[in-house]
Amino acid sequence: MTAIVKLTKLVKTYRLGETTVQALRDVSLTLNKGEFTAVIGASGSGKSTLLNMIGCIDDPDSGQIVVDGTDVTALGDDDKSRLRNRKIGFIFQSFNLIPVLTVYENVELPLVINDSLTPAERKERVHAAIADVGLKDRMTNLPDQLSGGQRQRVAIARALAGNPELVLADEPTANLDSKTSTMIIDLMLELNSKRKVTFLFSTHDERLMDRVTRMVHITDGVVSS
Amino acid sequence: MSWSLALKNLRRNRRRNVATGCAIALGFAALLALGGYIMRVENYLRVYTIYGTRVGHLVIYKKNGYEKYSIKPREYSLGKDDQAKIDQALAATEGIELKGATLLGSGLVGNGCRTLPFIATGIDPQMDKAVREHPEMRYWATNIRDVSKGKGLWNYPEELGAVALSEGLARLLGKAKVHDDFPPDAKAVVVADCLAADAKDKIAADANVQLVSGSWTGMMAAVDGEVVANYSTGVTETNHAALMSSLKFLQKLYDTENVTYYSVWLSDPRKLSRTMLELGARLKASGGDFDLYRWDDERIGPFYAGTMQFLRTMVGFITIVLATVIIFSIFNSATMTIIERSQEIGMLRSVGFTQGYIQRLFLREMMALTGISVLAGAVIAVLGIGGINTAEIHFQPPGIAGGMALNLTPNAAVVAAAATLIFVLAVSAVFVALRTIVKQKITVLLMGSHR
Repeated sequence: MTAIVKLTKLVKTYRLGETTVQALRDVSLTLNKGEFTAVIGASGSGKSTLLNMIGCIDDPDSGQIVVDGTDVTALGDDDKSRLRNRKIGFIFQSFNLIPVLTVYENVELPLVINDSLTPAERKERVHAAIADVGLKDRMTNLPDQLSGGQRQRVAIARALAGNPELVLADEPTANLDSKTSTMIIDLMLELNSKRKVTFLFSTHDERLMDRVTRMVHITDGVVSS
Repeated sequence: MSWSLALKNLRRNRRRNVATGCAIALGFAALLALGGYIMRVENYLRVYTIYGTRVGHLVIYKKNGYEKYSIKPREYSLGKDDQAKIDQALAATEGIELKGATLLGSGLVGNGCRTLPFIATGIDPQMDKAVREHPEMRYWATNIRDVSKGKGLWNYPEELGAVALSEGLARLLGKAKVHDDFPPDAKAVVVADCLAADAKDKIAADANVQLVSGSWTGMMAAVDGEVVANYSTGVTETNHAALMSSLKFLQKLYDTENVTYYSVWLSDPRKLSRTMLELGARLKASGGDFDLYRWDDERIGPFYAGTMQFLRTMVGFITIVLATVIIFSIFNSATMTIIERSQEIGMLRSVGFTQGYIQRLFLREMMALTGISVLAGAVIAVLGIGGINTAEIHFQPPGIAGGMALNLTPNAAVVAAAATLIFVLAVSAVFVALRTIVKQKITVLLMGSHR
């Protein structure tokens, strides 16, 4: 198996007023290509911090993060932006869709800054991603014309449109009812299988545990697989 | 996508954008109106100085003549030899539209009962005609273009001794009528008793005045003048004492062939500096001792220089106030928008947008709002300024005799300057508002908790 993410002795502390919170303590972890992994832990256990580190949107105090062979701790801000754009897809708990853009335009968003794509390739990728999440008939809708589940599917399509190696989803089902949550997880599983994309998502919903191929437990910043 | 996204984002929080847009539009319209006012006054004063006072674009005095002519006119005026040298230098200089000599003098003017001080300008009547008919006078200074009563000096033979009195002087002298109001064979009316009940009527019954002054040869001199016209000098300060006559008439009074200065009008005023250099060199080469001045030198056009300095200070202050209102309005709107959309900025950063790209995105958004607002402001300005101009409102700027029409005339330069100022303010406000926020950590932005 090829490693897509390799974390070595990752440490992250936050200051919360007078208190210092150790969010990650000496975390070492390897994610292999194509895996569908859930990070499970209670609220405040360090799940989001772990995902943020892997997604290059936060910096560790010490340790090393290697994503698809690149040591991201050595990259500058613009290089990290480029890496995120080309290699990583993000799915957020609160969808984070732009309300004035249509489904198509929201999904297209990460591609407009990818200058290696022609307009035709961009269009093809957007159509494919929207088709994969089953929203072909909603392409011209605005986000507020969609249900919560549909909005999260748009967010998934946006994460997949750039053909990333890795998709990070921070509590993607937290704002959804249980039926919709199951559908979203099923969709992610299906896409994982179809597109061979590595998925890493955080959840504290124990009902989803039996649906994933790998679980990483995190408690007070300490990881146990 | 950036511009289309910027335009689409304007649909968010329409009330705030409309309020900001209104501040920009009204600010822009106010700047245009203000610029139009300044343009109007500046052009009036410019034309008044160059054409109204007949000094031209360039003035040639005898060396130190500007300062000392009034004390020693004979010594510091231009004699025949000087005039010949100047004529020669001017003939060799390109781009001269009009030229002419002027003699200035003072003395007393009387109506047989009352004498008043006068300040006289003696000029070639044909030059006076050419200046009055100049397109600049027709466009910017209609109130001083035509004589207010009678006909210009050039319509009368030299032997008549035609003089034009400023409106205030004519009123003070009781000369309500001019030469053409009387029959051709009318005789001068003698007022034997100035205290008689009919004295006023007798004074007004002819167009004759007497000019008295000390000649340059040291004698007392007096000449009869025939009032052929009344005119406005355009300036309150001189409108009660000025009179104009032909150059020869005034030279006769002072018993001289000299003139005070030469005026030069250029066909292309943009070449003023170049022509000044060229003419200055020619005058120097002629061997004469001359001083050459520009029309906007504060010694030659003190009214222009002083008034414009005051107006520029005032307009500068108003512009700063307007700019402050606009910049705070934009800054407030931009800051609120950016704070509200911090999660969105976090999302954009997450999917790979750089800080620079996001800055450009918000800048485009504000540029789009500013562009739309400036267009709306231009429409408001066109309607407002058009309304003011067609209403033919008269106003009384300080020192301008008889007031002037309130025509706001913003030109392309004013529009461009105002639009540039607004865009610079908008870009600066957004840049300052974005600077700190966009550099926040992505995790902080995503939580929307950076504020």
